[in-house]
Amino acid sequence: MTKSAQLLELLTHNKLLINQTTLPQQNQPPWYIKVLLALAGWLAALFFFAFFALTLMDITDDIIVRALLGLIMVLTAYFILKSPQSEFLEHIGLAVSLSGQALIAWALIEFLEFKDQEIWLIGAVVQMLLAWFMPSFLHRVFSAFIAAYAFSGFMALVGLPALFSSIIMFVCAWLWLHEFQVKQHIPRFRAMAYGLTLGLIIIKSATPLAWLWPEQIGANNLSQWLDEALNCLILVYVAVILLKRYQVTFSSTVSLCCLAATLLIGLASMQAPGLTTAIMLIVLSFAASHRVLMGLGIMSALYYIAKYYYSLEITLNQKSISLVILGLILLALTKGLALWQQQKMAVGAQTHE
Amino acid sequence: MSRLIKFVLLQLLVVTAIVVYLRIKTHTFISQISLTSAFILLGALMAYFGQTYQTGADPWQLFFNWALLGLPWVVISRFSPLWMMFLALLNLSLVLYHDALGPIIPFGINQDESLLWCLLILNCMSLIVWELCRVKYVWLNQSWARRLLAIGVAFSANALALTSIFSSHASWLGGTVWAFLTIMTYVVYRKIQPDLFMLALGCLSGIVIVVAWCVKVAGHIGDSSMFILLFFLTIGLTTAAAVWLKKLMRELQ
Repeated sequence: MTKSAQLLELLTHNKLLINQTTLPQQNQPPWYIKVLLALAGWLAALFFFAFFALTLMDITDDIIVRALLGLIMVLTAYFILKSPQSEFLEHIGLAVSLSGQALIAWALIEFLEFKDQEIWLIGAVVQMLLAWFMPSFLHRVFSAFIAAYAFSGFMALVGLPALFSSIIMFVCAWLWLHEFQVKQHIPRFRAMAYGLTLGLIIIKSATPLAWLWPEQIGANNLSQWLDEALNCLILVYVAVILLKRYQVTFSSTVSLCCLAATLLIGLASMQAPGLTTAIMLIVLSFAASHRVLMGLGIMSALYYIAKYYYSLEITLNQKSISLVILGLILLALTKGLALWQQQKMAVGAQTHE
Repeated sequence: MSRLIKFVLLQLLVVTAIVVYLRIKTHTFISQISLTSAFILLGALMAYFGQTYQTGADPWQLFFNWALLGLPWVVISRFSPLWMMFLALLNLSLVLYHDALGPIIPFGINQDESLLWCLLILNCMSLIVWELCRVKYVWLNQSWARRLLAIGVAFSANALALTSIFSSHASWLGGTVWAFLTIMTYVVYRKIQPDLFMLALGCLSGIVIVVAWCVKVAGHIGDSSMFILLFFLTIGLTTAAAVWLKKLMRELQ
């Protein structure tokens, strides 16, 4: 029996449901079937692209023909994905679209230099448009992920590596916070939020993009602090929105304590890059009872802590002290919240008597 | 801060975590967390010991001894995350052992294959024991832990099967064990105790191995037509797997 069915039975047993209620038939496959489809779809896309690349190389060397063919393939994929859904069509659509994108990217890389800002900006814009328009969950997740990656590359080449993670983090937080606000955009917002979250987690580790900004290494120290400070502000923004959602008055003690605690956690985790992002994901997932997001948040937090432990820029002693401080703050907050809850319940019981 | 003080501080932290465990009711979440903290702090203490006496950077003995010394706490904790941490340490020890000293398994097997066999045996045994014990011990009934173990098994079995397919030196044993495990996955998780995640993992593993085997067989074609054949094969297998899994999902609902 599923959890929903158990809950329904409990409610019916306690006579809390007036009418006979039945559970709707669940048609959405679980996440791991989607992952299976995605991985196999990308493997198929790889073969499809290899076929096209080899055939094209035999026919023509013209990059405009390649780009045009890529564009036609992406458009074809759009119409395939728009048609009534079946697994087979969704796979064909994904494979055709990814192959088309690879052909366009191939033409662009030959036309522009790999380290040109334009190529990354075009990549980010095109992928964001695909994430918005392509009527497929998997496609949207993939496009949003690549868009985040391309955007961070662009920002690094422009010389603003301290800003990109905050911009992506803000968009990501906004999407998760407003996931259910526009009914017709729920699947779109959710898929894009997933893609950006995955992109953010990987980009915050900075390793995959390290080759892009060797020239910025000198300014990296300041950049990192600025980056983390902005991330900390976004964490506070998430707290403010959640307080508003639960109609807590901004000037109340609870609200001020909550904001101060959020700021304290953000400041304490500034030295370990990425930890603020992980904490934000955990908070957002807790607010929305989102188990997959919670898993992503916890896994990324563990990863960032491990990465911080192995960073060679600061001594083990400094790292231990900052982690101990963060741990103590979190423990004190947990204890404080438990005491406050107890006190509140005691006051409630007295009033009731 | 002198080294002695640092040692005292770390040991005090371990003792504090254990005292907290002894003072509160057993098998509560707080008691489990205090044992987990003690286990992690033990690792920190051992790492500091290694750093002070220069026992080498991240030797396999550090992680293995950490797991071994922490085992009594893992056993009494009745806490799945701590068991997973313990198994992760054993996996890591195996990787580092192979990195430093070469293959554990004799019979002329190379380093990578030996590592994959060791990981497969460790994770497969852990999964079997976990599955058998979770009926009796409710606290082991955590799907995420079983899934992580199954991913570990699938990864090493697939890598062994791929080695069997593509390497001319590797034996056929890897492929045979992979086939046996795939059949067992179907029997256990379809017939005895249905589990959609495990079956989806089995399907993914099957698709990868069948496609890889076809790449090997059709490799001699060598032109673009081979890729279009592989494309249709992948799409066909995935579609069949997805349709079957969705049918099962409705059945299980």
